[in-house]
Amino acid sequence: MTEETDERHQFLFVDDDPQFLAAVTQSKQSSKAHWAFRTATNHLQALEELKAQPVEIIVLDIEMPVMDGIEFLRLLRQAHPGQRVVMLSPRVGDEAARKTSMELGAVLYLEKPRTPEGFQCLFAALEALTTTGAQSGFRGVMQVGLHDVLQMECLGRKSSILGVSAGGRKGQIFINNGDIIHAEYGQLQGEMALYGLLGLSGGDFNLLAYTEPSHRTISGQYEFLLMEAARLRDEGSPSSLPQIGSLGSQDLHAALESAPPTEARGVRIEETLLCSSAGEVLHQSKCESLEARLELFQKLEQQMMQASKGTPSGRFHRVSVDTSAHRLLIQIQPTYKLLVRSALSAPTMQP
Amino acid sequence: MSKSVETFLSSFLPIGGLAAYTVELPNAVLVSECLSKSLYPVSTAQMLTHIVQDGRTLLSSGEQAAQYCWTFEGHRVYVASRTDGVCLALLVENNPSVQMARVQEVLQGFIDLPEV
Repeated sequence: MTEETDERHQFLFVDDDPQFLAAVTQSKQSSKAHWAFRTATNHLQALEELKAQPVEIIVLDIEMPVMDGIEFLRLLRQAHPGQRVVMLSPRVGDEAARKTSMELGAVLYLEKPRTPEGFQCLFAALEALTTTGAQSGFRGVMQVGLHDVLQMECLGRKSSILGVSAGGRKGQIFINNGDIIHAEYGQLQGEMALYGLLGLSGGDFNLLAYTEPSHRTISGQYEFLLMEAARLRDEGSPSSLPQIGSLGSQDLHAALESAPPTEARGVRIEETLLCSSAGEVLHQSKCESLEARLELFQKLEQQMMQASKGTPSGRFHRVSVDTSAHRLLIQIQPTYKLLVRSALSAPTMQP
Repeated sequence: MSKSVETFLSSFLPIGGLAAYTVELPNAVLVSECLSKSLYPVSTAQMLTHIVQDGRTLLSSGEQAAQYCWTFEGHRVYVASRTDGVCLALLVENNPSVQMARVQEVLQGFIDLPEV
């Protein structure tokens, strides 16, 4: 089952399902002329293929009879140390299998594709692996955060879509030539969606081939965006960011005022106002004078544009003001404006 | 600059990532220093003055003591405003190498200073 061997990228697909192997070969033919695929239906055949000629990457199904993917990966680790292996599983949420695979040196643990879009995702991941090169860098076990993946994509000036899923919710981050240009997460778009996604504590991600988003909602340096995300995650503000993606504007206040996070920090939300960039009120709570607050947004935006004129400080993003009694947070973003005023609770007296 | 402020600030400097600072009285600039060669001192000083003044308008009447963090794409400006209305503004770079603990120490120390 060997195709011609030459200077093309060499892959070996190992799967007991001949239909899947046929689908792989068929899917590849339409787009990847610079790739050579070989296939094997069991571990013995795979070892024979490797003996005949090494490959760049082995794509290994985790569920196989006689010797399953993990056992074969263990064997490969001893027989072919340094061999890069991508594991495919129909149950990508199986954390135990993922953990074991990564500990055994698999470079990726991906969902087994069943659709043309799925194959496109797999090929995008393989493409990314071929560009990183097998000879450079270290091999090891690490837990990768979205932040790290995003940073690598940006540093490499790549164009891709980072698809994220966690707890039944999905989001996407669009990267164009190393710049983060758009993000979607639930009903959110733009920076708030990006921060929400980067605030997730865990989940699955896929690197997809880049396509232009319907519109661009994010601008600015990726370093700043990632730092902001890290800071928001550390501070936990605005409240419950990771959960906001699933909320509508009606629910935002409930999220902001939810008792556990606010009481835990000794903070009581007194006022919230969320507006679109055009000044349309998307949500407000206990806002005494909408007109005054909208004026404040506008005034602050103008003042900060004036203040930073002639400096390399760039666009104004936010200000937080802490006094002994209150905390005021104002964010001015391209797609929204947010004001949250909180009162600090008096410390509880110990008996 | 008053002796106490001079002594106070010099005990903390240099701070990694600190690009400029200013100390402002309610109606005058006491001192303004640009530490980064990549910034224009005049426009930097003007920026900090603007920010200190604009920040005062965000406080409720009667409030003086506050701490601000103004975030821009490339910089952050931390402002400590004392009960006597004197403010210290620190312009720091937006990167992970900034010595944030030192920045916080200066801000808190400035607020705790008995007299400026």
